[in-house]
Amino acid sequence: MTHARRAHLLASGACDAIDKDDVDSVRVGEALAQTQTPSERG
Amino acid sequence: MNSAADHAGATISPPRQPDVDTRNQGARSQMAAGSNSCGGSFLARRSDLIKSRAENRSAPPDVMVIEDESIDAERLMATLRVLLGYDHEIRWTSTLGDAVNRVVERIPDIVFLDDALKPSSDAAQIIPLLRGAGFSGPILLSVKK
Repeated sequence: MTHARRAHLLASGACDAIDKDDVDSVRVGEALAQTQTPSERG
Repeated sequence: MNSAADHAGATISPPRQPDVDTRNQGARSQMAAGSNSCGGSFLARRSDLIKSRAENRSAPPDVMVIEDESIDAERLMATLRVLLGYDHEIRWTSTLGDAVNRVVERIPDIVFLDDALKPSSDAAQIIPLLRGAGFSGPILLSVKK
C-alpha cells in the first residue's frame, strides 16, 4: 500500500488501514484501540 | 473348620493410605493464611485482580466484517475472537448489498472493510454507502499490499 493510497482511503472516512499480510492480534488490537474513546480504554 | 469359616467371612481391608486430600487441604489453608513468602497469597491476589477486571470490562463491540475472500475473512475473525472472546458473535458478509442490508437491520459498532470487493467496488465508494445506510462508527480497512 502506497502512502498516497493510504492517505486517499483515510480521507474517504476510514479510521485505519491494515495490510492483510499484517493481520495479527497486535495490529488488530492497535486498530481497535484507536476506535475507542479514552473512557472506554479505562 | 472353624478357622476356615472365619477366614472365608473375613473382609480384606486395603492397606491404609495417607489421606491426600486432608494433607493438601492443610497446605492450602497454610497458603491462604499466607505469609508473603508463599505463592498462595500471590495467586489469590492475582485471581482477585482478574475477577475485578472481568467485572469492570464493558461489553465487547458489535463487529461486522465485509470481506469477499473467505481466507482473509476467517483469519481476521479468528484474530478478533482472540481479542474479543471466543463466544463473541462477529458478523461476516461478502457482498456490498448484503452488507448494507445488515447495517440497516442492526447497526454495528465497528466495521472491518475489504478495500476492494469484487467485482469492482473500491472502499472509497463503499464508505459513503455504509454512512448512507446509517452507520456512523469507525471503519477499519484491510488492504492488499
